[in-house]
Amino acid sequence: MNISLIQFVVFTWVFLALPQPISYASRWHGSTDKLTNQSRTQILGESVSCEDSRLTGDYNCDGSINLNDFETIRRDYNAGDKNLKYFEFWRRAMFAKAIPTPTLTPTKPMQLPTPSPTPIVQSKQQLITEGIQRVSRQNIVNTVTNIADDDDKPGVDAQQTRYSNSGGNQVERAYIKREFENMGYTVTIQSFSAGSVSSANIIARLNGKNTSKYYALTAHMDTTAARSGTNDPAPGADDNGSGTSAVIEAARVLSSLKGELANSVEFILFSGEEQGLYGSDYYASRIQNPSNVLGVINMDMIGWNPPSRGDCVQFGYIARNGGNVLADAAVNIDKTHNIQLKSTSVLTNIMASDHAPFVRKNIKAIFASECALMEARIGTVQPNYHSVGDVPNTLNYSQIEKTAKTVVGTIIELAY
Amino acid sequence: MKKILLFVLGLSTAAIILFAYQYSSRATSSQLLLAKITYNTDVEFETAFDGSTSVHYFYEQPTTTDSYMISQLTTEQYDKLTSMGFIAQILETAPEMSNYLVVYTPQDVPASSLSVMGTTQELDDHFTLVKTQTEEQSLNHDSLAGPDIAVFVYDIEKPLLKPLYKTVRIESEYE
Repeated sequence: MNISLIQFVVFTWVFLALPQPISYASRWHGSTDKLTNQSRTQILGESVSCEDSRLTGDYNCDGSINLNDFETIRRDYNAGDKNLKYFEFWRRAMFAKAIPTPTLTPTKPMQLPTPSPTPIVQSKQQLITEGIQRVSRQNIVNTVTNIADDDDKPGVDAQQTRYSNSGGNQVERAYIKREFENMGYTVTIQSFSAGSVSSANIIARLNGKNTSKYYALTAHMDTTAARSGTNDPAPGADDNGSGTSAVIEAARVLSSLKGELANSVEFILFSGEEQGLYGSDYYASRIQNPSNVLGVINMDMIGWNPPSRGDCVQFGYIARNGGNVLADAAVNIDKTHNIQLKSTSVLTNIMASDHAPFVRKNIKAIFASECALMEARIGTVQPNYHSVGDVPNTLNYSQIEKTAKTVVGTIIELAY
Repeated sequence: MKKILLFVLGLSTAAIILFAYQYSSRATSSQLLLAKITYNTDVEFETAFDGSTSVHYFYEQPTTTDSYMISQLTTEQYDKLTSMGFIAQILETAPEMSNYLVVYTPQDVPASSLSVMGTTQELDDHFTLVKTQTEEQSLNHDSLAGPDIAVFVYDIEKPLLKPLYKTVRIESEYE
């Protein structure tokens, strides 16, 4: 039989437009070219890690739980795989058990559930509440004491320094790196040289659904004791073991939300701050697209106040920077979740910490610090500031814990 | 003959360009001033910011009144801003910006108590502009101004990008 070119083209288009048999439909699906359940088993052999991912709701094993997983389940279901257990795992992960299970019958293709905004808001609030509850004061105490002493083993012994160029800084950098890794993070050590400083920042990243856009939770981990005329020892419990411990504890709590937040989060511990914000300046200089950094919460000295002031940390924003939305969110979390930090969102002109390099680049960045530092009218300041007396047993751990709770809730609120 | 003519022409062009470049760069650097410019409104902020060569720090109250910026500007820019009614206090001519620090002292201390760090000028209560004497004396965040005075130091060498927002605050859903 002779077929003309036009007949051939028409035939081909009609064939492609028709519903495909199972053998075609189940081989590849979706724009992401993922293998379906059946073909995955037939062609690749089921991997244990993918099966584990499916049990957590990530059906197509791409590292995120979203509607693409549902699409894959639906296609496999229509192709003959009637095993619905993965749908249930996906549903629970996607909607945090907040909506009822849709009724599914074998004779009727599954319909895409339309999630209403309300369950997602409830789920977000549930995550915030659970996150806040998981912050541990004991973990914070452990971190402060571990980085203030002279080795990277647990327990307190002789004090040491974390001065930027010192061996102690390297020892505690290794300790912090290991802590992050134990939480499941991939850690980047960002070395830099500036002025007289040769040191490194520590960066742990929590990927969200969007891996480009991220919030940063920061503190500096280097110390000085210049007011005592030395830099060894320089235990730096309040300045800035307090902020460092809050970042690490927030990272521990938020590590369970991998892939669940809409945007990513970076936990950054800078060095070289005491010599002129060198570490944060270097980090900021490497940001290629500032619009990808959605906001920076920098904590510096959050562990002390005069007793009369009680637990009190202020979230300071710089004029015309737009950071007030971050500070307002933090105060809102403190109030609505009854954390009792007595926080306030205040305009500040203090640029002497690691938020400044971000502000210079028009990235929203705020500065969280103890009220005694922020409120000059109090007329006093941490008496052990930049001295050998800045040791762990002088801190108010309740205040640090409440600050960590507030920033955990704030990050979920903003990044979810 | 043609080659020689082209060579002479090229050499002359290069000499003219080099001369012009030297002249312009010399003129710019010799005429830069460091000034404290007072502003009271968003419009004034924008005008002063755009009218400066570079802005290195600004101090702002919630009401915006009596706010100021520390800027580098040419004499022409200075003349233009002052002719528009701006109060611009010249702090130095041909400043070396790496010598300048803004120092915050939570405690209530006079600016003169920071004189060990360099030449001081009070900007507001608790905020002082310090010009360090030499690069060797350039004191940073871990400065030792006195055993009982805690200082928080910001090096204003690097200029600020023009802010994206016109007001102190932007609309927030959390208020």
